[in-house]
Amino acid sequence: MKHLLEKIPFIRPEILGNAQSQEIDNTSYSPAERQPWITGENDNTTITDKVCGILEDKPTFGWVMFFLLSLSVLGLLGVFVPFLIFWGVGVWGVNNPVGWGYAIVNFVFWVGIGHAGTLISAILFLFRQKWRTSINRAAEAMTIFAVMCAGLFPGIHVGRAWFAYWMFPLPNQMELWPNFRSPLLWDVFAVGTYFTVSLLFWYMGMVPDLATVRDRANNWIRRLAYGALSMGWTGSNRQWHVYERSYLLLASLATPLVLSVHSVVSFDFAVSQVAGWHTTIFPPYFVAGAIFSGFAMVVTLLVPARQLFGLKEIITLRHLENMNKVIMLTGMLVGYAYAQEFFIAWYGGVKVEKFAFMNRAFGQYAWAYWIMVSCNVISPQIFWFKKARTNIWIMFVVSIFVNIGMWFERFVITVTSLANDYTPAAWDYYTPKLADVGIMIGAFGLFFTLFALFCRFLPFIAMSEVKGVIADAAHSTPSEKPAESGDAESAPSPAAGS
Amino acid sequence: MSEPKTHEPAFDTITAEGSVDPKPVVLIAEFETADQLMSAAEKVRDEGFKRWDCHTPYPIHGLDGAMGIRPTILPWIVLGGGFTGFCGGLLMQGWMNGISYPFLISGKPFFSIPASIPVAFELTILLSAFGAFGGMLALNGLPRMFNPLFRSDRFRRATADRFFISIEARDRRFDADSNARFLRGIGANAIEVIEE
Amino acid sequence: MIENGSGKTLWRSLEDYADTPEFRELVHKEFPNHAPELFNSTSRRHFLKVMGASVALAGGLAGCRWPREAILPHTSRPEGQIPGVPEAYASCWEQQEVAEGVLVTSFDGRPIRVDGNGDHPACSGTATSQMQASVLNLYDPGRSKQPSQIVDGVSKNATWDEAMIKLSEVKSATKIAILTAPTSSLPLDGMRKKFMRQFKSGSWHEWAPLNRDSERLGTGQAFGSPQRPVADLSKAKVLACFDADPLMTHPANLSHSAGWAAMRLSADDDEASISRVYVVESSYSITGGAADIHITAKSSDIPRMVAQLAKALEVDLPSDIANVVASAGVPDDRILKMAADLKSQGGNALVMAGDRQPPEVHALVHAINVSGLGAVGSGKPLEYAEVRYPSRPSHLEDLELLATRIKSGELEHLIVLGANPVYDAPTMGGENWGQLISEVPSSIHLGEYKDETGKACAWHMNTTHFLEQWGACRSWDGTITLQQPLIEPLYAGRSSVEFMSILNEDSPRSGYNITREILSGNADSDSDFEESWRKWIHDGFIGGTSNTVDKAPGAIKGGWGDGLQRAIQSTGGDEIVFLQDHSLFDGRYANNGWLQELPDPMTKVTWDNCAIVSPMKANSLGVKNGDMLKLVVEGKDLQMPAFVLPGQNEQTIAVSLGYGRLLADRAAGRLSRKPLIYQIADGVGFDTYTLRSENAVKQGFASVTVSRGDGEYVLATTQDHNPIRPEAFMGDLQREAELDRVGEFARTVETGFSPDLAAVGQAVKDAGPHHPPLKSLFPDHEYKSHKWAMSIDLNVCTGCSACVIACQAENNISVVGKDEVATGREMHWMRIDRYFRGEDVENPEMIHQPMTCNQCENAPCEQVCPVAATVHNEEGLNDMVYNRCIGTRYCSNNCPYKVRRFNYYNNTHEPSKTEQMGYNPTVTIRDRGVMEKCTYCVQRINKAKISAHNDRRDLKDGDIVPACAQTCPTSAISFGDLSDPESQVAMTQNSHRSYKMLAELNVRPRTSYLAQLKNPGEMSPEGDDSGEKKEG
Repeated sequence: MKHLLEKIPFIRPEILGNAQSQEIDNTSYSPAERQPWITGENDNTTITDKVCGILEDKPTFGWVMFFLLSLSVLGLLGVFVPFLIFWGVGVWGVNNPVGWGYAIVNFVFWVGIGHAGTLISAILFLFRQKWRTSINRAAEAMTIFAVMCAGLFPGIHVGRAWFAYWMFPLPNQMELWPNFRSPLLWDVFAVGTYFTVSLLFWYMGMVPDLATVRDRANNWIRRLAYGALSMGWTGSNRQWHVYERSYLLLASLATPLVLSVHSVVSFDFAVSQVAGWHTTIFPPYFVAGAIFSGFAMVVTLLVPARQLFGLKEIITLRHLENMNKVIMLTGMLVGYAYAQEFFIAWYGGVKVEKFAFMNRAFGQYAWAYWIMVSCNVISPQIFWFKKARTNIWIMFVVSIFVNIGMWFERFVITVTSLANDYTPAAWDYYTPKLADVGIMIGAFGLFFTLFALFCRFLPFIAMSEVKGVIADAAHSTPSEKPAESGDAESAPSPAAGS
Repeated sequence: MSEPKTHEPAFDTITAEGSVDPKPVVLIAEFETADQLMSAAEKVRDEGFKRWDCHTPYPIHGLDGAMGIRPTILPWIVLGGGFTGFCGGLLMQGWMNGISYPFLISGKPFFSIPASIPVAFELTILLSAFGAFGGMLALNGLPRMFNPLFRSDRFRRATADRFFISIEARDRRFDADSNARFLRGIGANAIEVIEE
Repeated sequence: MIENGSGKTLWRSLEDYADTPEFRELVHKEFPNHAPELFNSTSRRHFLKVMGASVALAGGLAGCRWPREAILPHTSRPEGQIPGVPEAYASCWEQQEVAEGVLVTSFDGRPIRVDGNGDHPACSGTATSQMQASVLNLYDPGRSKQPSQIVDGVSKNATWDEAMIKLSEVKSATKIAILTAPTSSLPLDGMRKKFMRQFKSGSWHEWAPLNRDSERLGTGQAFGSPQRPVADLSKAKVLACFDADPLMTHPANLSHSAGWAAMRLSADDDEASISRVYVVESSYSITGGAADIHITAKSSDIPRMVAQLAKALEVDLPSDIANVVASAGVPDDRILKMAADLKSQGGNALVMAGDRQPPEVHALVHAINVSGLGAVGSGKPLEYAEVRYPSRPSHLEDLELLATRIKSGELEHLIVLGANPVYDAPTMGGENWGQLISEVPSSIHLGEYKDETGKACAWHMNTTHFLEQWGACRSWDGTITLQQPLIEPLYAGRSSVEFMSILNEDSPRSGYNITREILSGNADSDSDFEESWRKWIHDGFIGGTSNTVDKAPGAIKGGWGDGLQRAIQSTGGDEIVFLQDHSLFDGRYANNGWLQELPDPMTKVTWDNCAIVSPMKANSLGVKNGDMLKLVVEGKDLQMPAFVLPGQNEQTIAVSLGYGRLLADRAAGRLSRKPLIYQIADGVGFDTYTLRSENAVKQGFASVTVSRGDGEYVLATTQDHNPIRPEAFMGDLQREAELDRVGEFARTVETGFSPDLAAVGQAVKDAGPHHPPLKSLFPDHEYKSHKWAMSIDLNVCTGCSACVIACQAENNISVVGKDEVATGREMHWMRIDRYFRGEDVENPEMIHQPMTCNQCENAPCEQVCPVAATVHNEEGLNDMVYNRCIGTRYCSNNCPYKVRRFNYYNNTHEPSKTEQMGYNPTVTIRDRGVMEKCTYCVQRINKAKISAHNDRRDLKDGDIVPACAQTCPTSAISFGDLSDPESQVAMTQNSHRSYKMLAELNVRPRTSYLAQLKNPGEMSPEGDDSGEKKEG
């Protein structure tokens, strides 16, 4: 793997900063020796140094490249959004039967991406899954940025973007209020809440680590900035006590929230009566899809990141393998949903619905449908093999496929159902225009730019939690594994653990 | 990294520059490992100290017990937030669509529970979350932008890889020398007194 | 023309005012880009000033309001008018030398709507799409605005004074030829007589590319003198059309439609009967779609079929004809059945032949009607009226005469009044009309547009729009119909009558005086001429001037046997037929955005004409919609896109005329999301006149060699973007009952085909889908006040699309252009869905289903709008609140009928000052990013409510008529208040044929449809024993 990487010019180890960290296979399942989550000679000190190093050392060439690239892609938004606002949504390909096109497809896509973060954090936290600690920070960051991308679209997709704020229940001279029966309004509240709560959850989890960065700061700017962000955290245990309870509560609030948000997004379709939208399976189906795409995006981001920032010992193969397992599982859930739709369409005997699904698979948009199926259902099956699960390149490629597939799932749902519904005389074909594509790509630019900034300026790994994991590992495993942790040998005390 | 000064009986004193007639504010003792801290904490608790605290880079399980911290009331704050959110949500929708400006929409009633659930639910979560976060800040007295502890360079490692016990001067049983000795006795490898 | 009313002097002074330098200065400051229009046209702001003044005058001294040139309001007292209150004036609109009486709605002096004149004896009070759209031409920025003259090769603008000098020079000449578009105008006829008297060596020619010569000549052959057959389809229980389209392209289509509809509608009451319509044609027409039995045949094969019919009916014919008919071969079952049905109705049956058929066929058809069926006489479907200039040659011969006169070189002046030979006439002996005109030393063109001919002539002078001029024309039955101006000529044009009077008379007179003089004879006595004149203008016609006779003009004469013999020879190979375009007629409406964007009723193609081929032909050529075809006719070739239309005869390629114009001097592009720019006609479609040789004009069709052309072409259709598979018809869209399947009728000569209503009702029910009982989660809302509703009768909808234009004119619906239509963004609030039914792809039934907002009580669009921009009102209307709409387009997605329209761009932009005058001030202009849709013409509902309230009375049924219902030639649309059980709509909705479209969705539409009835009978030689068989 490594020498392959070295072939790529701008990420050679020497300029990669601390890329010399080794790929250690900690994925064996033999109960004889429990594999540690954190490999290598790592203790609190090294963890702190490694993670803070990312912020403190001067940026690596790889990061600069990545940042500039993302920034230039983000430029596309700067070009096309004003263009859109100036001319009107006509610059998109949407037409009379197909009133929703790329904008809504991208919205649902990004909201879906935005699910893994809080899910990994919250649900895995509640299930006491220690492996979350290495990835949750990045995943949550991804959530925040994905939801920001998602939030972009409902705003610009309306015909009169300058009145989009009418969707909020703001007092106004007309004494008019929004219509709370509309799923779109539920969206406003669901996505809004989701963004706020995820942001709080993310930020709160970061406070102790920000304090760490503050305390290592060697210039007044960092001290001031991180000092302000960390709100004077001293690691006081009385504070830890409230903090942990609050974190637990937030996690248990976030969990139903995650499930609700994509259910509400799916109501946009399920509550309408368009054939192929009006389906009760949508909420679970959308949630599964969201987790699916979210985990895929996490893999897409972390595989290069752990390489770039030398975090192989903290984000280990075992972490990645676990995520691949989730991807495979949710992939099959989604596949089941696809199959179920067809079964119900046939079993329900509603002609319209039957036609809608036949039309999906064999109609004018069949190509999109089969791209979706092959990417989402077929490609993850390779994870049945451990070799594939633990192979960086394979998992990276599959995660890309899944992202593509999930985008097409939203495309298929949104467009095919609208293009051919109840009144055949009104049917039409939807073809995206330049602005559709430009804005879609621009959104990716926004996403990666924000992520690059996050890597550079915020603690990439939840240090305090990882330290906890190391400590537990130290206690749970007798001290004949000195490589495990620095604490272990110097702490033979009987009172250890509890 | 400063080596632990094991043989020195006294303690370092850090005084705020330019303070006339400095008085001790807080005393901090550094420990190498979590386990030392844990046992030390129990002893400090048994000594009857009230205004003292432990500082750790990560939450240590059992330390609450070792320090004898009582459970927090935060959950009740969160519950309050959630309740407000749910009722507020329903009332808002009922008033806006049912009373303030009723629309005849799709032949549906002006206000009906089913259509109001999603928004009410989201508001429940939102306000609970505010409760959880805001409550945490309030109960912890955060943000607190200045803290005498920040005067100590040694203490900076409290958020990285060292473990500290701090005893405030306001504690009845505070006495720099005796406390220092006591702490040294239970395994502290460095003691500092911060004066202002 | 200062002599006329108070308003006029003001107009003039206004023109002067507009020319002062200060004003120019001001204008350039204020609207830099509109400056030219301000000078060429009457800007809105001038306009309002003028109207304000004239109204004030009217209020002040009402007596003086009506000068000699009075324009009498149709509906209200003559004195003055109340600002903002529209007035309806009677006038006349002419096409194919046939006048239709119209009512023009005028708002503060701006005509904005053209509707039919219900009082007119020959008109049914409805209007065709072209009649209604013609008002847009009045405000067309592309109209010719001043005379112009070619000075050494370059066209230069001129003033009318210079034009007058030119005309005075013409006056002094002798060798003058005049070419006019044929018109039944009486004043112009007077001018013609005067001209022929005055200029001894002057000649008067007429040319129209679409004329009824074959009927003229045919009746001539049959009766010895040309006759005009006037058909009353409400008396035709069996109707057989051979290449004829009486319901759409026939000049009398409005009265035909009304009559035909009466025969179909009567099926709803027990003892009455429903008609049976046979159509034999080469290209699917509107009438063909309405037929019970549709037979496709090559136009060249149809004469033989007519002959066979004559044979089957044993018509007694002159010997020479009889011989030819005898040789026509044995008729097949369909002809025999047709014959049996025709005979069975005791004269209440009619056979019609169309323009595409040679004169002999028309002669034979009249022989059948007169001596075969006895269809002439009182109570019978057929009457005859006299024609203009019985002795005139056919248009083609007339044109040839002119050509030879030009070629002889002795002609000094050629004057073209309205005709456009350069564009639409065939080449004469290898010379096209551009060249011919250039051979004349001096040529003058008078026209509304500086069209192809206008550019070819040395002089062009601008004439008036029909809403700007005085005149009197004859309608189909000969009734004299008056034409009165609704507005002062915007560009100071001269009507052709006034133009001729400049030539003929030493002191030119106004159209007003000429018209009065011509009509003076019609007054009862000179004493009360003024009175009757006022009555005529008020009514819009002169009663009792119809010149029809209800008996045959004479016995059938022979002598056309050879011609018939030639006609019934079958010719091999493919044929091309040239169709009158459903929108542009012969091309005269090419600059009319409404009509350009009106989907063709058959193909649903907008902004183009195409070569219509049958599916089988398309297969053999390997083409699909939009692929280019290469058509070669007599050596001339043209490439145009194919359109595959089921029901088209396999060996016939049909192309419509009127496209591929070149109006503008500078080539202007098609409008695409730009505001209307000059000459939108240019570059739209393909000029099929180039294929239309003299022979093709004479014959009505020509043989063609067709092959795959190069490349593809984007056709902007509003439906059928992709083939629709049968399983697509999942919802409950449209229903039909075929009478011979649903039950029997006692068929006797008296009652004809009377359906068994119970059986029909059952069949209609069975045609619907099975769905669980429609229950709502919540109790239904109660509507306490009015419950507006509409019902649309599919049984009489012909798909003529008049309603679409009516809606567009009434509701200021914007034109979006070809590109946008191709993207699927047409804005029409009303569309007509066209479906085919039947297994036979080559000859399926055609169903037209007008679709507009169904105003669902449980409107799915409302609940999904986040800002409540579309809500229900207490009368059950689904209101669209434009200024609340933020444009999520969710409502449109959730509308199962897909009747909502979204403004993807700012479609109105800034209309020029003249265009603004054409808008209906009672309807808002919609902005970009806003959804819109049918409102049931809520502005009319409110107007009616207000006036009812002012009169202290309740609304009564019929007070409110939406634009579409008002204009529907077959009155297929009825509107009213469901809470009044007596109202027409309540009764139609209770009809046994009534059903709600997609009712299974429980959206509770307020619009209901009435199922279609087809009456094909059984295919057997004896049509009538089908009945007894079933009964026994």
